[in-house]
Amino acid sequence: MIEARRFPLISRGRLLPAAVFSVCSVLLIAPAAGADYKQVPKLEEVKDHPAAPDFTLPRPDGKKISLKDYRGKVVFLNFWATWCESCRDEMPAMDRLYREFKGKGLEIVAVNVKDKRDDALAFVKKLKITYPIMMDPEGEVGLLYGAFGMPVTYLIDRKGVVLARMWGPADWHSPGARNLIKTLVEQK
Amino acid sequence: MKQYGFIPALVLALALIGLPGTAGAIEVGDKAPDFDLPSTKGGNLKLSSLAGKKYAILQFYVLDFTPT
Amino acid sequence: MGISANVRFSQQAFADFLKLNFPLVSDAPDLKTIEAYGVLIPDRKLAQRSYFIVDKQGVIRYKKILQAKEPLLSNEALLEEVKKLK
Repeated sequence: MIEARRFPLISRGRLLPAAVFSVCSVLLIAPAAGADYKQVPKLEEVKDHPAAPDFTLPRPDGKKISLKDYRGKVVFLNFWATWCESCRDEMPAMDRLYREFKGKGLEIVAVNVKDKRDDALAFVKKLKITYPIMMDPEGEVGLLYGAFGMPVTYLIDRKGVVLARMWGPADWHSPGARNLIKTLVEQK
Repeated sequence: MKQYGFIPALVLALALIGLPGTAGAIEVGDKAPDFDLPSTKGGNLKLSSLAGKKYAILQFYVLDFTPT
Repeated sequence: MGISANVRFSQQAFADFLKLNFPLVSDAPDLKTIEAYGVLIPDRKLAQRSYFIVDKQGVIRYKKILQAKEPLLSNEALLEEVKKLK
């Protein structure tokens, strides 16, 4: 019933002419209802757009953060672990996405699930990851969000509403992904 | 190396299923306790709304995403 | 239908992931229904894996609570039980 899927990583984004075209076409798309989730293969819109359940977890430095602290930003909520190979594969592209859109209102919150803090920190340091990490060693928040297998990623709007969910990894710095995030941060 | 997939991490939950539950006050032949609870198909599901129409199979399960 | 102590959000994720065609019903946070059916694991605040078949008159006609290590009932086995009642 459940298979372990392997998503080949699309070779990293060169700025294709298509990217220019898609940027232009964004201006013509209506906001709010207009986000096209198909731009990221296998990304599923979550029907009913439920409110993202709040949670509070510590950062690696111990400071406790809640999901609702990020209200007002578009939140890319990602569940990962160092023992999950496809999680590790997608992290560099996620970091590029973060650096590109951070100033425009994107926040990436990467919840490390059922892992050792030191392993997670070593890994983040090795890949030079700049987005925030939260620690969920018991996996309770992971379970709430269905991250029993990983990675799992949710796109949450500025009002804290869940828009879409991705089971498994993706190339988050592909032209499609970047265009989708651009649409989301530009929504009021 | 674990790929994306199910991890039976909550084996502990499975082990605890064997614990004695609350004394079953409900037995075959009793009226099924009604409920009106949130459903993944939208809105609520009220058991008594099925009366006269359908048999209902209720499967109580322990946790989402675990094999039980 | 499936019933558990999980909140609706988590059940929705589970149902979407498995593409279930039957509903999952959430008894969070009170767990009163799970308790009413006698399948609450109190210290864990979770339900025991169990099956009930309710007929059209709202009467329980089949009940099974799984013990540790007992295998799950297949859909075919459950439908067989329904057939026996008709």
